[in-house]
Amino acid sequence: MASAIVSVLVVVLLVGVIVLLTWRLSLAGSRRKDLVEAGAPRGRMGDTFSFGMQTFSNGGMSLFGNNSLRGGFAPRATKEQRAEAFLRRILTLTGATKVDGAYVLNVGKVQFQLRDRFIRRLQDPGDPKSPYEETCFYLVHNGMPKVEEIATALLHLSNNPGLFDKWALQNGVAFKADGKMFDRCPLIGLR
Amino acid sequence: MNAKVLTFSSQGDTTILEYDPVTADMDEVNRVIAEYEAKTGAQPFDVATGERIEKITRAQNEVLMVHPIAGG
Repeated sequence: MASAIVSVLVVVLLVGVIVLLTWRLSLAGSRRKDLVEAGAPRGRMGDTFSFGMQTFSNGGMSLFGNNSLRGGFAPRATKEQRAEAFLRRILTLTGATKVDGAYVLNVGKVQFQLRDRFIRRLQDPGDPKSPYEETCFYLVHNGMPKVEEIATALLHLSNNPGLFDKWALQNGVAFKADGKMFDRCPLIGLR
Repeated sequence: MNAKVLTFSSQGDTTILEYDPVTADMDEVNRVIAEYEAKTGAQPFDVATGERIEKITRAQNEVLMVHPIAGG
């Protein structure tokens, strides 16, 4: 009789352990799925840049490798076409317009005129004799389409027009959008 | 609909992270973004508003990581 009770207890205990293990495994799986399921990464992640996430192990960023491109627009659009489309979105968001080959952005009373790697700032755009300042600019990541460089500069200036002074006064020093200096370019092979 | 984190690169706009904003662990999303910023200097902007954001929330469906600019 006693051995029968012990046997039943052992069986119940084993079933309990199995149920507990199954529940823990399914819970862990569903938590990972939350972030990963949608498939985050595109392409392969290089050794130089790993988020340490499983989702990125077979994913990646073209920023650091020759991965196939997946954009947010028409699948057959070229990167230049997608870049143009993105720039149009940024122009709408920032209120900037294209005038005579320059992208004109008004922030308060100040007007910025952006061209390829070149920015002019006018203090009084209504006055043709208004003083102005000029500076060159470049993205610390080389090689992106020109219009994406323009879009990046428009976003920077529309959010933080004071960046113009930093670019003009500190040549060769990279600044993040919040105005803080970025000094880790060599880590990712940038200039 | 999935939320995306994009960036500009030599190959045009590139999706670096995609997740379900309803169920995703946003702390993990922001940890990934913080790590990306630490290595590239890029900071997140809400593509719907064009404004820089400190942290990504479930309200953002499309985020653009904007890279640093230097003068010269």
